Amino acid sequence: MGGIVDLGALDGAVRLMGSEWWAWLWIVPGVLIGVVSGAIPGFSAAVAMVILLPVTVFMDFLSAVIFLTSIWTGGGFGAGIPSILLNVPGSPSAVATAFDGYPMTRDGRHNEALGIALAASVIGSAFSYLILVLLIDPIAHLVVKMGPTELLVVMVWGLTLVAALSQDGLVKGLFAAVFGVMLGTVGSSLMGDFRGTMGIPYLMEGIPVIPALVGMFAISEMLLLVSGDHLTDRPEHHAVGMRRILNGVAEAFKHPIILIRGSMIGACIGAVPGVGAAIANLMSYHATRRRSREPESFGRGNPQGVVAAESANSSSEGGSMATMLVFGIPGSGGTAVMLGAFALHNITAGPNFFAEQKATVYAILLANVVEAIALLVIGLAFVRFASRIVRVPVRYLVPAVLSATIVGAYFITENMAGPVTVVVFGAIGFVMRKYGYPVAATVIGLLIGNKVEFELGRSLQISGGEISYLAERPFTLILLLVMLASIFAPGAIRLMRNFRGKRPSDGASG
Amino acid sequence: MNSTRAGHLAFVVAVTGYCVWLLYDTLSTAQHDASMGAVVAGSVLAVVLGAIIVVREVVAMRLAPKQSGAALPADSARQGNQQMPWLILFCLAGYVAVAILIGLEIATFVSMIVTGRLLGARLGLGLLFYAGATAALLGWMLQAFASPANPVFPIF
Repeated sequence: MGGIVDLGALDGAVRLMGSEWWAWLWIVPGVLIGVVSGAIPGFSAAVAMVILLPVTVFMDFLSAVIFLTSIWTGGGFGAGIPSILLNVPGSPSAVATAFDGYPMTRDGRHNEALGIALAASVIGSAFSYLILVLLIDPIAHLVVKMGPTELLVVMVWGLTLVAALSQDGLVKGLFAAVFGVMLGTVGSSLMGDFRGTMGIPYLMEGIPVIPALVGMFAISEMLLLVSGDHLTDRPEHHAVGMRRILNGVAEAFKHPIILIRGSMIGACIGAVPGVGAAIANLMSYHATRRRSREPESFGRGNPQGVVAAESANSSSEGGSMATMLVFGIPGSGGTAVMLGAFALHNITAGPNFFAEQKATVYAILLANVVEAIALLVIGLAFVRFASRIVRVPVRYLVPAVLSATIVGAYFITENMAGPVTVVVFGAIGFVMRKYGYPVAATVIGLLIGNKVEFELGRSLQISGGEISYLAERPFTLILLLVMLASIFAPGAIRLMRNFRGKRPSDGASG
Repeated sequence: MNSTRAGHLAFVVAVTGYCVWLLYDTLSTAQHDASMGAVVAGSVLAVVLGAIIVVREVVAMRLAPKQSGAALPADSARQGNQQMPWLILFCLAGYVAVAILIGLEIATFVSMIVTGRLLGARLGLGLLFYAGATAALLGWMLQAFASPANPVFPIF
């Protein structure tokens, strides 16, 4: 363990990558497959990885891992494309990208938004893997020290953040988040008790999350679009140009602090198994908005919001990968598939693999840096093609998106539970948005509801319900303090500013 | 009573009611304390937050000036616009029902034409080709990647 890179292993990694040069050839098809599959809501990069997992049996180990990580890298950015163009996140980790990306599209700045997202993804991904080359040991050991109370605080933090980001007030945001958590508890509990299934067999495993996400975002957005002619009604906003996309790329580099902060948050929070990737983008977005001089411009098309969300979203992949490589714990769907690829090659990821095959671990991390660079080129070509969607009239766009979501949901569940979930949650999402409730809060709540229950149960069991147990967990206390500060500090600072601003004028008028 | 505010109240009451029902269902079926913690906490929070929202909305309703006067022609046009999302949602539910009965490809083709027409697309060769091509592409993807390629009974 240590913070300094093992130079011998790094040298071994470079030699390994040189000797097995053919493994590099899998990067381009992998990234392309990832971008395309990530851009189809419901059909995420993880699904593409599952479909292509059997193909990797015929590859050597390094080629297989590079191919799968390339799909994953491409998918991280691809999920942001429908977020920006249609307000439909391709995965839960791209939820925050839509907050400012979609308003930019409605404002005719879709080219710039996609360019920003691409640059932030590339930087976030490359930066996180470079950090991991240096800090993989300490980050992974910090994560493994997190007990149920710490994990619970991180999850509640994520929920309160997404609720606090609601434009219509904290109460509505919290109400939506609590509703999501309650929906997340439907089905079998960890002890085997069934709740809220209404006798419907398919609810026994819980509500299918991705169809629910697609319904709440995609269907509700399409229903709101039907009153217009195009995504953006002004004809001059329909232009698609590489120059404007490149301007967006350049715009991202104007915010180096946000890029670095987002990448750091993503790499650290992404390492938390299960919830990291979904929450990292929200934390980065919230941190950027809190530090901004114009916090009210967030949610209305502020490019900084896209930079913050996408850099954290992409770098969270690196964090998740660290936990998988060092401890063999899959932190997300993508890393779970990768563990399957390891098993297909008779390799078990975990402490032994990390200690004995450090050169291979570094080779995997360095390959991801190269994949990020490949993403820049492939992403530019794809973004130019994808941004033409703003020219499609709503009367043709809406029927196609509705059909794609229904069929996509069927792909996921392989029965009609998926399509039915899409329709039901589409109606709920539409009503929620009509009355100003953030659907993102409900989706995140649904996603982590059963995990919250699991960690709450474990925390209560370990502590025996005694609050004094927290005194034995200083890391929990620190996380709690940071969480409370991040929620209440902006309001307190605003109150103090208002108070200071009012006093002189009160005195003058009096 | 303003219909928007009434709709909002109905939504909040429905969500809160659902959370209370989930609590009741959990308490009546769960045999382990560990299966109750999050549901109990969530239900209590939902009731508290729901009550705050309801009180706020009722106060706002009382303070709002009363609307009067006959409906203007523009009102009926706006009402038509407001009904369109519900009509599309109804079509979507029909799409799923038809998919169960006759398969996803044909249901996709029919749904695209009906939804397109509702949104103002002309029923010409263009729309037919567009719907046919989309249904064929999705059908091919179903055959290639989904198992079974179409819903079969029992549907769940």
